[in-house]
Amino acid sequence: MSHTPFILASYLISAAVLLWAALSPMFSQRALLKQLKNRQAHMEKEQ
Amino acid sequence: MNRFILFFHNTGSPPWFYRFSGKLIPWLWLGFAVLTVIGLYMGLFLAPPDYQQGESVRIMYLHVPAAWLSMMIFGLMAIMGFIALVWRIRVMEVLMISSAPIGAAFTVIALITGSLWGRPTWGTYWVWDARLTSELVLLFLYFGVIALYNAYDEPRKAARAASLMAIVGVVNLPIIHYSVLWWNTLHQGSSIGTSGSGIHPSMLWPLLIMAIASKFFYGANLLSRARLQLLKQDHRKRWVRELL
Amino acid sequence: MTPTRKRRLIAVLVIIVGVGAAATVAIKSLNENMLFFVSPTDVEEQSLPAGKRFRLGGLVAGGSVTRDSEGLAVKFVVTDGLASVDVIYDGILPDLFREGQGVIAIGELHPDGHFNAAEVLAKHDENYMPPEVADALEKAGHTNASDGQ
Repeated sequence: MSHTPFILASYLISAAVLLWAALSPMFSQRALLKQLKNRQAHMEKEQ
Repeated sequence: MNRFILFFHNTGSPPWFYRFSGKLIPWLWLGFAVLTVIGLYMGLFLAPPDYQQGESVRIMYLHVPAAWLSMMIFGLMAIMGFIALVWRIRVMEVLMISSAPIGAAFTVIALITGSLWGRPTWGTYWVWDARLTSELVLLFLYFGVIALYNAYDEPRKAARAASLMAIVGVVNLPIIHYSVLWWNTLHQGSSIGTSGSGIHPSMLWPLLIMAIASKFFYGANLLSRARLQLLKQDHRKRWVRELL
Repeated sequence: MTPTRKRRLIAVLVIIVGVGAAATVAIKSLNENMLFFVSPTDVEEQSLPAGKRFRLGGLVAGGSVTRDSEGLAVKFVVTDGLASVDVIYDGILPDLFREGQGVIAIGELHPDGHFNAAEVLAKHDENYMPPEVADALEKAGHTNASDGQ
């Protein structure tokens, strides 16, 4: 049995899982900061 | 104040933690990147195939570090949960709950790579032996901690409940570790123990480097998740407004 | 029900379901697989009934493997040093299958005493080394690492 597909699948799946783990908080942080900044700008305009 | 106590005190302060971790994260990612490049090069190109498993031994460089880390993170969560429950340090609560998705991710990696190694080596993707089953239970415990935390509106109460579950769930760790000794399992015993290692140095070095690299990943990822969590909780507080 | 109470209720349910699922899986595994496999000695002592499915674990006895001239059928002896069981298997063997290797055969005893395997798994041990090192060890007269524990 050739082992290559199993090794390849292991590395690809692990990379995908780690990429998700690393990127998801970065994207959420960016979105949250943007949202907070917008709100702040909005509030300052009202004052 | 003594420098150590000052550090401890500061760590408990969200604005200070936010600033400090922001400076630390790039260095942790750098450490992870450098070690991973070295470890993968050694593991995939320099290390020889195994005399029995052939090339599929290369899956070990992912599987073993992920499995180690999946257990270590749960143990740390129990310790952080304990500190959070007793001293009510909010940053500790945030660190505890931010660890859970990372631990779950590494458990998933350990289970999938183990399964992909098992097919060519054992002849099966999965068996219900004590080692594999207890590692699957660990994944459910991570999901349980996350679900319990999300079931509460109030983050501090949520963290206390989740901490309690992490502390209770820690009984699973010795079961995972000793399963291969206590019961007949398909999974082999530990290669690395107090009596030395059953792994040839040419394979052991890439394995250890990958194991250290995975800890850097955990550190960097944990801090960015904890920062996000703090921002969410404190978005109405002054330090966040000043930050913007 | 107030939203807070509803959340608490959900939390409690999540705990019950989670712990319940974990306990079920654990008990299932402990009952069935506390002994993931039985040894040839167990088979001899316990006189297991024919036709009951179980897992037989042990080492493939040296020189015992005979393959059918046509087809995939293979006969070998599984031993634990004290007792041994004849195994007949018709199917694809895992790569690691060889004489002296630890294996787990899943199947049932035939009334005449041999074991009909439906599936054969190879057990790996905790030693990892390059082929040259394994050869050198064997030449030096060390027991082959695949002899198992």
